[in-house]
Amino acid sequence: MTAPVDVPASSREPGPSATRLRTNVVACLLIAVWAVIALRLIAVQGFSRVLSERSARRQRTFVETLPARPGDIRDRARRLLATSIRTHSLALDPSEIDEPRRVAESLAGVLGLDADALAERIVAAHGKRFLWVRRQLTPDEAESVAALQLPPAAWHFRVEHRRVYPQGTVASHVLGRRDIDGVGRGGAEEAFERWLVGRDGRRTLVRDARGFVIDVDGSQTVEPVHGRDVRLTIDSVLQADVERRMDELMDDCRPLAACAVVLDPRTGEVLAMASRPQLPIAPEAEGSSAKDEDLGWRNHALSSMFEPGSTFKPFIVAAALDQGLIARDESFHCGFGAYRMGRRVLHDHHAYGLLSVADVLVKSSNIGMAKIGERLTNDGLYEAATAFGFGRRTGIELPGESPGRLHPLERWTSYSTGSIPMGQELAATPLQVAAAHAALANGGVLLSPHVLLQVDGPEPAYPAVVSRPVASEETARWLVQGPLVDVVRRGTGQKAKLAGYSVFGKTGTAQKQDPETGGYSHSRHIGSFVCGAPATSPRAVVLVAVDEPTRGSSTFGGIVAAPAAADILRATLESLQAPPSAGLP
Amino acid sequence: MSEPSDFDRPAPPAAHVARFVAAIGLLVAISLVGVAIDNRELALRRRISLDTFRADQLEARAARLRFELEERQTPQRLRAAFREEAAGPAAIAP
Repeated sequence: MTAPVDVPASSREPGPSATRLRTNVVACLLIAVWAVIALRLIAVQGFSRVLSERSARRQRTFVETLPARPGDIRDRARRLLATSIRTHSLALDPSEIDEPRRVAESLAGVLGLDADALAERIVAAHGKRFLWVRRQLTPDEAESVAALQLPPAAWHFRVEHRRVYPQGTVASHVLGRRDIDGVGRGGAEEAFERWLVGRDGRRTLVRDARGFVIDVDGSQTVEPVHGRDVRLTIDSVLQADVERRMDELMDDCRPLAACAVVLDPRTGEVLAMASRPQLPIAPEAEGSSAKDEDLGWRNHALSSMFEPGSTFKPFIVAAALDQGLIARDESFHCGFGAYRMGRRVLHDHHAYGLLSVADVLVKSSNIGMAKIGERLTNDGLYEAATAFGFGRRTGIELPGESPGRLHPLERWTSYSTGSIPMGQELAATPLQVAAAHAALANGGVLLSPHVLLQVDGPEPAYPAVVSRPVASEETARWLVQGPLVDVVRRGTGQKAKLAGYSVFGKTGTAQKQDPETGGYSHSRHIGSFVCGAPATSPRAVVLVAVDEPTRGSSTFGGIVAAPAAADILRATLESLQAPPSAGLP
Repeated sequence: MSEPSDFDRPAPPAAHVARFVAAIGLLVAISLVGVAIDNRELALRRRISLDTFRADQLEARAARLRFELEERQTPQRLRAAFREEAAGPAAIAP
């Protein structure tokens, strides 16, 4: 039998000092852990409270933009010309997408997209929070996307407004366009942007951890201010008539461009304004070049300028009559077709002898006008041109208006005395010419043409119309009811006769510059015709300008432009229900 | 002499118990009313939200219908229709 081993008491069970030590260590560790947690809490709740709050808010809340609906554009009879409809645009949050390939294939299936390209875009945007997939979906496409049941945090619709034009391309040059970002490009869309575009609102949505919206924080909601409706002076029925006639003109004469303007001379309102070639609906249309697109976008009525030619002559006669430099019953000898002014010999189309002032206009004699110009001198000619608004913008609200070209008086020479009275050496827009003729029709008062009729809303806005006397009423009436009526009755504008109405008008045929010689071309012309009716109380003034007609027997304004102008004038008078002139068949 | 234990204390009078129960009941009632008001508020907010959404949808639909209506009654379209009508059935292309 072996004796029991003697084990020291200290190794069998801990003594009180060891136990205390272990207890203290555990206590210290616990205190340290709690201290760390407490410090961290203090740091999170105290020092980085703002950052933490911001982070938490960002995770829980989402600020959604409430897009303002752009105002409608209507014509003078409140027919809708442009409006906005709500659409959904699809955006992804690439940072929330774990399976880009699967998401891309799902979306590509319903939207007709290339799945590989979309997957590549999602992968490339990984880490970013926003990626457009497609904007302005159709309602069917939006429904199909919603039915895909994609992870809620990975995608969302953004509400946008798509601009639509119920009348199609009618008045497209006057209206302009609103692009996919809602920015007005050209025309009324750009000119009246400040009224049409409202102010977007916003609201804060509260989301749960899965991305579902659980609440709307109403206290932070800012309601959108929708755009105001704008009414134009355009009559869309008349506008459609004018555009149809311009299309026929383009087919008949095959010009580079053409335009038409219809003004109400009593108010300066633009009733119709058309320009050809037409604004392309799809700029990427097959076969269209950049030059075609540029021509299509241009509103020739106010941005193209040409030498007004004979349409300018009545203003010189009006100025000379008002200044007492010529008399109505005076006659001028037109030299049988040739007249020497210094080193220059002027010619008429026909060899006229003695012509009265009225006949100088009716026959459109350049020599007769040059002689009147000599009476006025360069100072008087310049004064007349500026008085009728040449050389500066008319003030119409639409963007892109050209001021035309009127050289400073210091640059005028002795040639100018012969050229200006026949409408050469200066350039004007069709709108300037129409507005100046409207001044004669309005008893000598020039009104700034405008397309804005009214801005609807609690505080309606109206156009600022500037009026200015430019000729005496007596002279204006005599010109309109005398020589200008005779132009249509027995002069160069006989193709503009209208049954039942006394029509006044003036033809113009301007030579274009020859790009090779720099001088006037004998083959490239701009034919124009401006007319109005009834002569005793004009209700409408119509101008048609045709740039380089290439088909037909003549390029004269009385041949290429007058028939179209007469058709437009007839449609305008019918539209306005203007009573026929008394005593006419 | 030793202190009396809890078991040795006399039972509270019935009035005290009633007051205590009444207080608890009042608290519960207030809580229930609060919960009911909260539920009602949530329901109303949900309804307002839904109505706003529906109004938005209707407004959007009205705009779309107005557009379609105006598109169908444009002067060009009406003129073409009148022309066809005036020309009679024989003039209408097959």
